[in-house]
Amino acid sequence: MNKITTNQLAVYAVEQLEKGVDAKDVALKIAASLLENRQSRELSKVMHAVEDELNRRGSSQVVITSAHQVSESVKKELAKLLGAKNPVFHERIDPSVIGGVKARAGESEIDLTVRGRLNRFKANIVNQDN
Amino acid sequence: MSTQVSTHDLAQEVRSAIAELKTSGNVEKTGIVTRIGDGVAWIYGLSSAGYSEMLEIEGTNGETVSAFALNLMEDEIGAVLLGADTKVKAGAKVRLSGKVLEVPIGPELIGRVVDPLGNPLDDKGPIKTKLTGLVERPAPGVLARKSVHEPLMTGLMAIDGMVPIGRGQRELIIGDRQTGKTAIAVDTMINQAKQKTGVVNIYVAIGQKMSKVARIIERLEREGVMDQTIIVATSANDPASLQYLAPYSGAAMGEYFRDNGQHSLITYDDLTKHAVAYRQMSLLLRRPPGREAYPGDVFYLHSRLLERSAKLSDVEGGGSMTALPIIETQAGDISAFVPTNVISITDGQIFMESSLFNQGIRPAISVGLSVSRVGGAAQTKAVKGAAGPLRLNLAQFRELAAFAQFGSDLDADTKQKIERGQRLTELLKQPQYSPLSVWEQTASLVAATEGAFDSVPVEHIKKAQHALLSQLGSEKKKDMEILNKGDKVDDAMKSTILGVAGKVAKEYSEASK
Repeated sequence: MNKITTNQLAVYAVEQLEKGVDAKDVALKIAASLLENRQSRELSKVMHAVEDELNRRGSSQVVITSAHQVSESVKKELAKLLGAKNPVFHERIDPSVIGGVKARAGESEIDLTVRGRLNRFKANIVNQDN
Repeated sequence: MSTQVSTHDLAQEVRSAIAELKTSGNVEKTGIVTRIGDGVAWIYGLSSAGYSEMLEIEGTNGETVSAFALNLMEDEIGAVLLGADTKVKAGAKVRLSGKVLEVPIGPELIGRVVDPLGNPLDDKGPIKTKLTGLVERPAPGVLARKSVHEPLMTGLMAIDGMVPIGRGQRELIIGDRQTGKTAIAVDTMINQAKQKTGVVNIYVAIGQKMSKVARIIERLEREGVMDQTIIVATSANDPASLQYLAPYSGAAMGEYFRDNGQHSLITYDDLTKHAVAYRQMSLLLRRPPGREAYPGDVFYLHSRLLERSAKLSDVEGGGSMTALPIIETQAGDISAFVPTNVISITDGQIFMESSLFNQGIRPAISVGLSVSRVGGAAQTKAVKGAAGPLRLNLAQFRELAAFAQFGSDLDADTKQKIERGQRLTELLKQPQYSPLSVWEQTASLVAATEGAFDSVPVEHIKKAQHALLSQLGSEKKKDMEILNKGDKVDDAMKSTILGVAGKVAKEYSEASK
């Protein structure tokens, strides 16, 4: 029996969701399949693959992380920068980013946070030291 | 005097410049670490990553850890970390760097000890190189090459006489542990400094004990060799990825000299540990194991490395990179997987035998199993002429050696061959860190092969050799300077050497009576 790839699972999940099957049922089936095939450690990969599949089908999942609530206009601007069509926003408030905002849609990411800049600054200094 | 500056205007300028900045350039492709462990990270995303492309993984505390992609699969990437895997967690963000691995190269590295990424390991401050070189680079093609024709003297009579090495050659040093493999490489490096050949030495330690590397560095410093040496060091403690990269980094550093019309000598100590490090990486990346659990491409691993050592044509500047790869065998088994691979890749091998080592014959080179396939064309003419009968004499001696114990029951011819063989074997013994120059080697060989030392007792051969060399060095200095140029030994020179040798031999044969 061939191994089911994460991409195949993701396509199945998205198709089920589009047919209107309850998300909980789909999640249960996916979980059962992963357990049965001893692929449980690939769960996080499946989650990402589902996200990618949704993006491919024209409904971009945009994850926005910021220290404070972000206004609708900023969200739209970010989605435009990332080239996301029909964006569905998922917001995360994370004080550790200090300030600014970062957004991700599939593999594309834009990081305008203070934390991100500090990290890049730190990496540059470490490189120069060497 | 001061110029009028309006802070308002300047601030306005900055403001308008910032307004024009486009942030869309900050959009980058990212992936996510799904699993991590044993120095390998499995990454989801980054479908556009290239083979052996450098990836940057965001570690804890905002540090970045470099990795290179080795397994590109349908839905994930297997990447090997170049730093500690404790700094990376599952879920960490991964970025593409858009380039393959490069290391600093250039003359600034000479005299330094670096890791495979070119970072200094000594306390001599940062290395300010101007250039970088690709770690994985194709070897020069057919038209860019020339056949090996210049000698690379090791200073060891047994090697320069019987298995000569030429510049651009790959000569394998193979043998069990503790048989003096590294000693040959170190002596060769010392000889480059003593004879002022200008050859740049690169010593690549792969998974060696740090104490051994420290000892070598200390010795090279004491002999004044570090001024023309680069050390690329990895210890058994380093991640397998760094041990895997070390020889390629060293080759990149050596290629700089090769491509600029200079000569370099690179020692890979040793390729057995390199293959083991690569095996570890491959098994962790879940590549299918083959013979001795090595992956299928272990031959290519070494062939592409050693093929980078070459003698370039005059059009390309005529530079060269000579390689001395080292292989450690188990119980003298040269038919194991990695030894046979490297023997077939290289242009000859120097086989070290532990039984010879234990008999006190050092360097413990097995004359029968050692060979140099291209070095003959590069051998110094003086040594070539003098060492001509050496191989034959020693081969005859080996065949007859078993009869040596019968002593007086043998016929005169056999007896003479055995006696000559014993003296030659004794003469080829050479202590560590004392390489001989061309004239010293030639004079010793002429004296022994022409039979001048036949009357000297075996136990006095080394003393007689020293006496011969010191007398020639002081009394016939001019002649020896001419001889040192390496031209063929003419009859006049031969009789000069044999004259002094005869006197010395008389002293020692009488002293023993």
